Amino acid sequence: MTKLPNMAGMGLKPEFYREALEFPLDHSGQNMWYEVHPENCMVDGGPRLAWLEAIADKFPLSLHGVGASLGGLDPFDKTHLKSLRMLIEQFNPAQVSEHATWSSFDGTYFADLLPLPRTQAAQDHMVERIDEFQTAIGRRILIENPTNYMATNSDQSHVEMDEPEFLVEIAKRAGCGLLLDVNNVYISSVNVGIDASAYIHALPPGLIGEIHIAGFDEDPMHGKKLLIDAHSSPVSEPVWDLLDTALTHIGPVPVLLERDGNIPAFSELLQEHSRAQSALDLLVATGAAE
Amino acid sequence: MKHYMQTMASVLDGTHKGAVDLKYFDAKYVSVYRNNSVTAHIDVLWANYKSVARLVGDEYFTSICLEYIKKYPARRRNLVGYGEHFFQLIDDNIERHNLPYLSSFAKLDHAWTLAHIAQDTAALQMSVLENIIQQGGDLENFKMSITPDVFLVCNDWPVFSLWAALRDDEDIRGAVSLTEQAENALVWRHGHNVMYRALNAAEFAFLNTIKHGGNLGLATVKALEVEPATDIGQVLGGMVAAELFTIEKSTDGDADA
Repeated sequence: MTKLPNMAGMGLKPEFYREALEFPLDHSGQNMWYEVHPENCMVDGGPRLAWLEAIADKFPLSLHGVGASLGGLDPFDKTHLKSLRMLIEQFNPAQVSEHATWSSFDGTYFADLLPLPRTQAAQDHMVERIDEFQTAIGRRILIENPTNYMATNSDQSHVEMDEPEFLVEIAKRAGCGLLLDVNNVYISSVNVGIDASAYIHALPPGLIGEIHIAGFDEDPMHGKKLLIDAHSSPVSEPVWDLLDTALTHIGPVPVLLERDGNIPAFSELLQEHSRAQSALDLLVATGAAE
Repeated sequence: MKHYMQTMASVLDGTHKGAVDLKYFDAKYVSVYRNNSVTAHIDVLWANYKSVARLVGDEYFTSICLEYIKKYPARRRNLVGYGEHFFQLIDDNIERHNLPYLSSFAKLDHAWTLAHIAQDTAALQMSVLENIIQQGGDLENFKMSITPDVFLVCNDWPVFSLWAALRDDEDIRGAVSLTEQAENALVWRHGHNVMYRALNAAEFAFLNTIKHGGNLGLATVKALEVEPATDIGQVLGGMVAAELFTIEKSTDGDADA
């Protein structure tokens, strides 16, 4: 297993498997890496696995799970864990990550990343669950900060601490790392009024193993007041600014460009990828990390 | 924590009665989570039932999806292949949509999805059969299986050519006019591509016999029973070239509901 390079990578989609495979590597062999949702590859065979095998042969790979329901109360799904273990064995990814959310209740899978209550009890629960999950798959993971759509109400019984404090303590106790999605931070700043810069600066740099950037949509009913983490549009300027803020605070780490809807031409995505790489290059060139 | 999740879950699966007891959250935006969840399911159903969606249009397709999601919530932790009961739900609603042939399209779509993600298996090569013949072996008792990506789809309506056109993104103009008549189709994967074609009665009998464990001799008899003029050499040669058979142990495809 190699480490993910501190370079810009891209979410891998079937729409550009061939272009992704044919992307020219430079002398370092690390100027591109790809991330996939393992759930989309939990199949018996066929082109998805064949393309992934070819791409993983040439480029560093990260598996970014969306289905574990890490914070859920349902037991882990044994079939899901087994499939994930098999993918890890087959493709030997440089990194494995999941979300600090829940997505299953009473056996129903909602295919959404739902926020956890931020309580001591939920923190203890997450620590146990991550320990169980990491043991089951044989890997240390990173956990991603959630997107928030709803401000907390007058009843604060489920909010005993802020999100950075909640996540950092979990990561320290569970022995996992953090995946900082700056698009999620920006969306939360608009939707529920958190201070995005303060959020980022509350995270210890050493815990963060990867950054995600992506685009958002405005809610059709509420417009600019409610942003949706749709990954269907280019990265917005405020998120690019937050990426700079995060890199300055954290130092160089792998930066992933996510795009899951309205997939444009690969060449168009490469322009955004280049901009992310430039942010990393500038950081290294100027030694701007705090 | 359980009450918190129970509340959210009831919003997501639509089982919450009356006003949502959202002591935890500002109720204004709670529908975002439900919308995200529903959209994720509908996107997958749209991808898995492309011809049905194109045939009935977005509005009606979305209404079928909403009913499906409620009746058959996802139980696995991923949505790959989600919608395995879709054609049943369509049949349950015939009186509403008055499209008795619609589930035939759904069965073909489902077979396409299953073929796309089926296990890879080494296909039987013609040279194996030629060697048996050259060595004077018993070809009649030769047993092989269909590969896991092969699906025989039996429909009550002759929708195959229309389905194939929808699948290939061709423009379909005018109202669909069909007369009830049984039709069999073959959906399989060749390399990275899902292939499909209609099967005549003899081809279906031949392939179906192999699928159910019959040997080459029995498959030949069954094909000739329905069409005595069948050129079995040509049928077998075409199917071997299409890589429909294996001599490795495999799981049968089973979309012929």
